[in-house]
Amino acid sequence: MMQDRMLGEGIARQELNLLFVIDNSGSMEGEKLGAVNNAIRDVMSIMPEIQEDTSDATIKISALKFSDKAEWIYSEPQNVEDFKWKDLSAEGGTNLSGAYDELSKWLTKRSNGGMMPDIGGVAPIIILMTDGLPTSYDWEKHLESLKKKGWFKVALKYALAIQIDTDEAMDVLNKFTGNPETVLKVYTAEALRKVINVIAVTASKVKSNSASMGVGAGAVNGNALAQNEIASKLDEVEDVEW
Amino acid sequence: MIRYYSKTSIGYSHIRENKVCQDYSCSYHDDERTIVTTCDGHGGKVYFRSHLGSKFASSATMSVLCRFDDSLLDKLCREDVLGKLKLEILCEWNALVERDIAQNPFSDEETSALSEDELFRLKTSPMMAYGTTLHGIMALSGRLYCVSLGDGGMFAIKNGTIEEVFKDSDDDPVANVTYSMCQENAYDHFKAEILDLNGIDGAVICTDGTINPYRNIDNFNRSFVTPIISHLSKGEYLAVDDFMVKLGTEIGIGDDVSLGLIIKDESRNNEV
Repeated sequence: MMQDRMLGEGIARQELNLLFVIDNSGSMEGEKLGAVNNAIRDVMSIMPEIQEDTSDATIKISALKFSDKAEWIYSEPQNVEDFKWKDLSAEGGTNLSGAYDELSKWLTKRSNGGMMPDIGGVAPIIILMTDGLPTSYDWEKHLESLKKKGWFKVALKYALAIQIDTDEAMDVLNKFTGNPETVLKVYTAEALRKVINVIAVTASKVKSNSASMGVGAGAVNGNALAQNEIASKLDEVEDVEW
Repeated sequence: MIRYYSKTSIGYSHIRENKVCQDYSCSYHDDERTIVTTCDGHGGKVYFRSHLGSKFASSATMSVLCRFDDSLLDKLCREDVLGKLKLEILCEWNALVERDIAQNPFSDEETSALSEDELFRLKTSPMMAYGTTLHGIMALSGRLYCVSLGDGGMFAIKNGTIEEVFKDSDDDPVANVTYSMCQENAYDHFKAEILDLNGIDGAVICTDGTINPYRNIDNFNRSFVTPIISHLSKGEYLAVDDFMVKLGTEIGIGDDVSLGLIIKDESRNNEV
């Protein structure tokens, strides 16, 4: 039998999800994936401090890697102190369709089998990193289905184009974020490390502290604020272009 | 007998930012009908009169539901009756907003913080300043009439469990993005339903500030709805008032909070 609860029990802070979507296909081998591994470790060393400084939201971390297939590093979003990064190794193709399908499932309410809260919650932060064109030819069809999700529409989305400079590859990433201002070309491993750090840390800090701002129709909590702050910090990073 | 309750309290983030409470709720009861509403005015700076918008939404819903003649269900099909209810509430809200703008045009003080883009949007659609959600329920002649536009919650209560009257899909807006009375296509998102009161124990409505701290429906029922009903059925409505104030100003997520409730009470002869 379920126990009766008292008024005031069962109240939780809002959840802010930070998600890394990482291309670990064969072409990422070497300094590119090395920089990603280092960057995420750097970010995770700063996150406990950010979590401690915010009273509005609980930060949850997730990571999805994709090569021939897409796989979650942890099956559930982790609290900051529980997320331990294990270095990824590179192999296989770039199955972006598989990554979009997993993302689509993840951005579904918990009662429907996903990871988003049924009630409330803060728009998530999604950072996609890749160094080439998808090897899955039907990625656009999978993206269309992902784009219908309410949580995808409101997410703060960044895409990092690692050492790629073709219009075709940039088009893939522009279609993911829907905003060219949040697609960044990163030319060196050091710049990649800094960029991941700036985006993940700044967005988490700004959005977790604006979780209680009610904004209403057509607006998303803290996204614009976070984006402005990230843009001003990225001005100081060399070898990045957007 | 029918018990009913409604209450709004300001949230701590609005107190911190020296803002007015943007939620509004009200209740009405007479020999034949009981009505409660909860409305949540949007918080962005372009919605600078949303505290009035939520009040107008409650008022429009009250007046339309108060004059609603349920014999219409004998003359029109159910869908037409529901469509008429939605349309009348929207028209009434629009009329209240238009009258307020005519009597109190937007001042420079109100619009000075807006960007050029926001000013343009406001000029094209002045209703935007009054943006709000709306939830309303009415018990009348053994039926429960439900109207809903935007986020927050509306649940039927039955045997200690609650069930969403209108189910959201994963494609619907989330995270403080909501459908609104101020949208041009508000009618398309406006939901209405008629439930048989014999099959349920009542219904609860609330704004997002009330429900969001509970994360899932089962927890919301066990930690909020069930204890609230328990207090109300013992006549302890001051305890519920106090908790609503505490939820807004201390222990919730900082947003304004509103609650409306109608429950059948077979055991007692008085109303809350």
